[in-house]
Formats: sequence, structure tokens, C-alpha cells
Amino acid sequence: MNKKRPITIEKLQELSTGSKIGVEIILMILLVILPRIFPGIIQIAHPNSLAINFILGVSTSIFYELLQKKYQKDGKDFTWIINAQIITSTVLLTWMLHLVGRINGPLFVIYLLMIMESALNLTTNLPNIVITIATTATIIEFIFLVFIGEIPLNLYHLLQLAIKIAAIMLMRSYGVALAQTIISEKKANEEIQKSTRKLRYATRKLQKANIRLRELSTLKDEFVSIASHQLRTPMTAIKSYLWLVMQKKDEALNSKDRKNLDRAYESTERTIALVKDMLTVSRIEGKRLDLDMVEIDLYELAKKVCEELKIKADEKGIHFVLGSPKTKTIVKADQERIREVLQNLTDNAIKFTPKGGRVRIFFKKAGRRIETSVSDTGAGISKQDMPKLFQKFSRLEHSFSKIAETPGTGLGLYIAKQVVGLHKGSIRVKSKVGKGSVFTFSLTEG
Amino acid sequence: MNQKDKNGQKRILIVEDELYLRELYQEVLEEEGFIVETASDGMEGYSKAAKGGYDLILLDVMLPKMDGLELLAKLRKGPKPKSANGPIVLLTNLSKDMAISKGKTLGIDGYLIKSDLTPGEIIAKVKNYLKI
Repeated sequence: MNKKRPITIEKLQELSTGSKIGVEIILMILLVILPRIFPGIIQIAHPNSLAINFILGVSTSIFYELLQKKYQKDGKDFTWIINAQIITSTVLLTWMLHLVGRINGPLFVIYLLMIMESALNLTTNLPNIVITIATTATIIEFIFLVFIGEIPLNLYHLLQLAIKIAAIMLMRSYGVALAQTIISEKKANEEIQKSTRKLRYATRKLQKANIRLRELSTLKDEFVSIASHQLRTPMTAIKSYLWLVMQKKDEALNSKDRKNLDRAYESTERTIALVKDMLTVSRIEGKRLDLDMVEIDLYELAKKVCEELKIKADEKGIHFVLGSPKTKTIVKADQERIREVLQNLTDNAIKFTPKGGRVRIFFKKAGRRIETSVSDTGAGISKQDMPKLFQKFSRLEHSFSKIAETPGTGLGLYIAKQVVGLHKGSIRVKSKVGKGSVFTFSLTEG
Repeated sequence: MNQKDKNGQKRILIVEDELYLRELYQEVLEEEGFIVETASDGMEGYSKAAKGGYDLILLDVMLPKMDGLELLAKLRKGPKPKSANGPIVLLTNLSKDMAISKGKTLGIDGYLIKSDLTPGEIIAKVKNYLKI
């Protein structure tokens, strides 16, 4: 399963390391093998010494690396070991060469190599003193060799020597570079593997948590759904029995009882609405609100809403108008949900408009969208209240205490915004304090 | 055989487990002159409905022993009663998107959301379904 990952950084690094090593191997082959095949033409340095230097380069680098690893693990300083190693090998090599009587070999090359190695290997804690000593020793050795006639002060010989030294140094540095490339790639790979492991672990943990959260969300949804049903059953009984009592003839109830019953009935209705809205919110937030998208006529829908709310508007003495649209008002939407949105906006408008005011529903075409607006001549919404308008339970206290007789659930506009949003539509409000508000939602033409 | 033939009264079956609501609906519908029979769980509801002869069946969804939708499915699959039942209407408090869409696939003739309706509105809707 996990093998099916796309091209990763690991893979790219493997490739680049491979190509780097490849180039180095080819260069090594050219330097070691070509002089063997064409000894007359290419006289750089003895092939054996080139190969040996290459291997030396690799091995010293690895030696340094191991040293570094061991000492870094213990948290100790290891530069002194490297210094000691350089000094020891310099002394040892010089002594060995003198011992076997090969004084005629250009010894200073070895010193140069030492310096180069330490410089290549030690990016930090460069042992300056050691380098100074080695450099000084090299110069002394060079002068010494010239003095005893080992190096003739002859331009041709000096050039040859320089080429030899350069070739050997090149080989040695290739060795070091190769080893270091391998080491650093290995390190990088280890790092990547480590972080990949960590990442995988974290991903697994997150996946588990996500599954759990989803389960919890489903549980919550189910709980709210069942609770809503369970709550609504007794609420229905209360509402229905209250209604039965309220049907009694006027003589049977005195006005105080009637008022009390009205209030009890209204409160029951509010509770039912709240329970319903909470279920809807739970659905929306659990992304489980299914929309039954069909072609609907917004004007027809508005007619129904008007019929339902006409009595309420009349009771309050509000002039309630439905403007007939100039264009078609067909959209693709969930009839029930959009009806709820329109009903909610209209109900709010009636609620917040004082006696003698005006509430109007009207339509407008804007491009491929049909805009449905509900305007009122209510108190309006102040600028600081605007951002709170479409939030959950964000009733605007002052405006309620002034005008509204029955507070809402505080979820209506939140649900309206979410429902319109699920239809890929938008909802907006324009308002002037003291003048009134216009709520507009737009849906794409069906 | 049908009682409605005797005196023109329509027969309604209410399958509802909640005692208060069952009695309330029975009461208000009987006052309107209907013959009302009731069942308090799915099994009882099924055995009554399977006999046939109801002009309207009001069926709750959440019921003990057998839920309303199971009852509906069983009724659709089972043998047809001698005298066919009239419309079957879901009587529920469940939200619109859940039970009702399932009910629609089982061929319900409509649905009533209990908490949305007053007894008066229930009577009006019942009369509507019975085409009175």
C-alpha cells in the first residue's frame, strides 16, 4: 500500500547521488587506466600512486566520519585526535620513506595532502596550528630537496612535478569527495527516513483521530436527531392539548386565562422551532444536510409564504406586499429549505417592523442569478451588529427588546446563510438605522 | 363488508405508540365523524392494516416492535387485502430528509409533521387526503 507513493525527495536524492558518484568513478578510471593504456602519451603520475591516493582519500574521510560520529555521540571534543593523527601520520610517513631509502620521492606532496585532507574533512574546528606547521614543513622540505639536488631548478622538471602533484592531489580529493558525498547522502537519507517515519506515525495518529471524530460527529448527529424527535413528541402533545383548550368558546375562558394559554402555546411553538433548528444546525455542521434539488418557482414559493404570514402582518397592521417579478423566477433548489429561508427572512421583517410599516418581497435578475429580497421599514441594523447577524445565537439584544414580541431561536439567519451557501448562492443585507433593512439572497437560474 | 358503506362513515387507522397523541388524534377525528381504529405498535398496526378496508392510514415512523417503514414495506410485499386500503400517510416528527425520503420510495401518499400541525390542521389534512 505504502509503496504507491509518488516520486519523493528520497528518490531524487538517490538519483543525484548516483550520478555524482558515476562522474567521479569515470574520472578516476580516466586518470588511472588511460596512463596504463597510453603510457607514452599521458605522463601524469604513476597509476599505482594515483589509485593508492584515491583509496587513501576515501579511507581517511571514512575514518574521520567514524571518529566524529563516536565522539559526537559522547558529546566530546575530537579535534585533538585529528590533529594528533595528522602529526603522527606526517612523522610516520616521512620516517618510513627515509627508512626505505626513497629520499628521492617528493615528500612535500605528502605534507600537502595532509593539509588538504584536514581542510576538506574539517569544515569546523580547523586546526590552524597544525596547518601552519605542515605548511612550514612542506616549504622546508621543498627547499631541502632543491638544496640536495633532488628537485632540479629546471622549468621542465618543475612543470612535470607540478602536473604529478596536481594529478595526485586531484585523485586524493576525488577520494575524499566521494566518501563525503556518500556519507552526507547517507546522513540525509537517514534524516529523511527518520522524518518520514515520524510523518507516517503522525499521519496514522491523525487518521485515527479523524475516524474517531467522524464517529463522534455521527453519534452527535444521531443523538441530536433522536433527542429532537423525543423532545418534539411531548411538545406536540402539549401544543395539541393547549390548542384544544384554546378552541373553547369565548365565554368558557376569561381573558386572563386566554392570554396565559396564548403565551403557553407560543412558548411551545418556540421550543419546537428551536429543537428543529438545532437539528438543522447539527446536520449542517456535520455536513449531512441533504438537498433535494428540483426546479422551483421562487415566486410561487413566495406566494405560499405570504399566505402563511399574511395574518401575522395584518394583526400587526403592516402593509405586506409581494412584488410580481418581471422575469422568470425558476431556480434549481431544495424547495423546503429555500421556503424556510424565505419564511425566516419574511417572518423577521414582520417581527422587526412597527405598526403601519411596510414589508415587501421582490425579485430581480442579476446575470444568471435570481435575487430574492425582503425589505422592511423596521429599526434597521447598526454597523457594529452587522458582522454578528449571520452567526449562531446572535440575536441583537437592543433591537429585540424594542420591537420583537416573540424572540426567535437565534439560529434562523445562521441556517439561512448556510442553506443558501449549500446552494452555491449568497445572502447579503443592506440596512440603515431608523430606515429599515433589505435582506437579499441570490440563487443560480434553473 | 366495509363499514363506510353502512352509514357513509370513513374508516381511519392510526398507528401511533404515544398514548397522548394517539388518543388525541382519535378523539378529534371521531368528533369529526370518522370511525377511528388505533394500533400502539408496528405489529398490531401491520395485522390491522393487512386486513384492509381503511380509507386512510396514519402511520408513525418510530414504533416499538416494527417501525413504520418496515410495516410499509411488509404491507407492499404481502398479499393484497380483499378490500384495498386508501392512502397511507406518514405521521412523524422525524426530520424531513430522513424518514420521508425512504417512505417516498415505499410509495407513501404523503406525510404529516406532527409538531408543525395543530389538531385543527390535522383534521383539515385528513379531509384533504380523503377528498372530503
